[in-house]
Amino acid sequence: MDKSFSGSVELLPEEFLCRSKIEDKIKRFWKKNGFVMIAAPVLENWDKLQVALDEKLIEKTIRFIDRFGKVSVLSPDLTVSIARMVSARKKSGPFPLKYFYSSDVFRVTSEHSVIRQCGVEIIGADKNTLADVELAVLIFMTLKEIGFNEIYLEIGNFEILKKLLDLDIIKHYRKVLFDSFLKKDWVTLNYISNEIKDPKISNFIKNLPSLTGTPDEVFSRIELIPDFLLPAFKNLERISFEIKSAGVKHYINLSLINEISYYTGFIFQVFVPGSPNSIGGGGRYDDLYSLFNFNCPSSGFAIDLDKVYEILKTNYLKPINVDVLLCFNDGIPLHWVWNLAASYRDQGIKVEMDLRSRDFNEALEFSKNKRAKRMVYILKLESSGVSGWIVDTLSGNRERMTFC
Amino acid sequence: MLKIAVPKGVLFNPSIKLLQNSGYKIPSEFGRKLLIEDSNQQLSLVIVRPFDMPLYVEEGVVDAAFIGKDVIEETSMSCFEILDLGYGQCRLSVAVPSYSPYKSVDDFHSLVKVGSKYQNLSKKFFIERGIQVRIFPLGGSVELSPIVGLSDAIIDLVSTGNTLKANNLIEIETILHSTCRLVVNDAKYRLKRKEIGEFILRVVEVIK
Repeated sequence: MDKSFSGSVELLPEEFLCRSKIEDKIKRFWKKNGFVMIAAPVLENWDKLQVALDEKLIEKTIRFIDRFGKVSVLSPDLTVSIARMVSARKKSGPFPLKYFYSSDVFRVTSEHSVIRQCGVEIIGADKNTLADVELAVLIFMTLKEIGFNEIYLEIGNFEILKKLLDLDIIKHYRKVLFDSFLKKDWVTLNYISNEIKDPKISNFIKNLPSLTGTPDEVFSRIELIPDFLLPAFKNLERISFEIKSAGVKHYINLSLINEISYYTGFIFQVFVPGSPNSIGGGGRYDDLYSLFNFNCPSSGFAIDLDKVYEILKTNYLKPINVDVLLCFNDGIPLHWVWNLAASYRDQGIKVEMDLRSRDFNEALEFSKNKRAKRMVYILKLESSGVSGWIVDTLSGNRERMTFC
Repeated sequence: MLKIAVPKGVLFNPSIKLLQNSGYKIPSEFGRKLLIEDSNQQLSLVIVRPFDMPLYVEEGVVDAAFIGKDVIEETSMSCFEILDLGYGQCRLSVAVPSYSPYKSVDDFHSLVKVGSKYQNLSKKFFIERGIQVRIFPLGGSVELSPIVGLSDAIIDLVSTGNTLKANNLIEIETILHSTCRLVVNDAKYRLKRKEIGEFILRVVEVIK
């Protein structure tokens, strides 16, 4: 029988601690980079949010009707929720705002429907390349910070595909072309390219799958780029140059596309060994805020923390232990136990009180199972206090003590 | 070393032949082995049932695979579809018994009962045509279902049409044309770009 409900990731204390360590490291790193944490709303009013959700995302939402008959939705995308929130409350800036979040998002998928995401948002930076560069460098450095050695950062410019699909000569193939890019179906792309009359456009589409690789490999093939796409191509080249100047190895993919439709320009994805698909990505979405009546350029990225955890858990997973397990015989006045525990805790020692009656040997066995470094076993009440044993659980050495 | 999934069934022999012609030293006899390496240790082959292939590719257990377009479309698998390899030509068609009152899909009315291995494509096809449908998922011998009265029609792969003819069935519409494709896992396409690039080039040299 399947004992787990696949709707959300279940984490036992050791596992939770492990994921939290990774999460904390990310948060600390982003704080060091001048980003501040924001509590992104998880429960949203459907009417307010849906204006910025595309069809595919809407299909995946978890919605319900509250007791007043209003439809609520569990946020499927924190970027959209933050856009709504900032548009309502932070229109006055000061810009750019640099926020980060760490929260759950909710999407019905074949796997888990609750996804733990860490992400950053840069809101209100100029529409120049600086924010794009900062984001690409930041995601790379963040993954390095948490322990990834091999990172494949891939960048592209969605404007290239958008402008291509806007062409009049493409209009009959628009949907099938878009789907081909989305599905990475180079076979269909090749068939369509043969049907397009304009030789330059046809040749460009045919060659798009090969326009991936190192910056040198891609930017040296400028002769393939139609004139009307040159500004977007050059913009990507500028961003790539700056990312390279920051010492970040990256690759170019001119047909890079994200299934979330709000991206408008620069986009990127990251891949690492151990994951069969991307573990994070982002880009620029300059039109998103206008859907909430606030014209403001913005960009950001998110990292799938559960995917990261799955890959890195062997490095981070450590047993949880306490310094002292405090066991006591029946009949010991509780205030003695509390006081003793408090005095240890005052010294910064982690203390757990045993809540079951056990004899000395049972308590020692329990301490070993709990991986407690030491066990304090209070035996009896004396005139001056309580007496008992302090036992080193690893060596088994014990010492008689009186606690006043 | 690249790990490639090869499907059991009709696509198996031509896929192995393609690899051999591409210069990989693949033995011709495997017995019952499901994991094979070429003698130069450039490739490791995993032999898998066609409908299990998407799982192997999407989970990154293999780097690339030879797989029918029909399976790609049925499972909506996420991967790079790199090359049309040309072999394994067939079509996914709607077929009915020759004595059926339905001579075309437009003749169907009320709730049509359809037997198929391709539940998703079948459902999508009828929904797009605005026809109510009940799909009976079948694992094999699909042709039997209208003959014994389980369904009104079938949706199945047809290559020569001999099996349909032998069972007194006629094709009334083609949903999809299929051939074998070379697909590559999303992350492996990036992380093993050099090895995969070389592999693709060797295959292209043979099929062009």
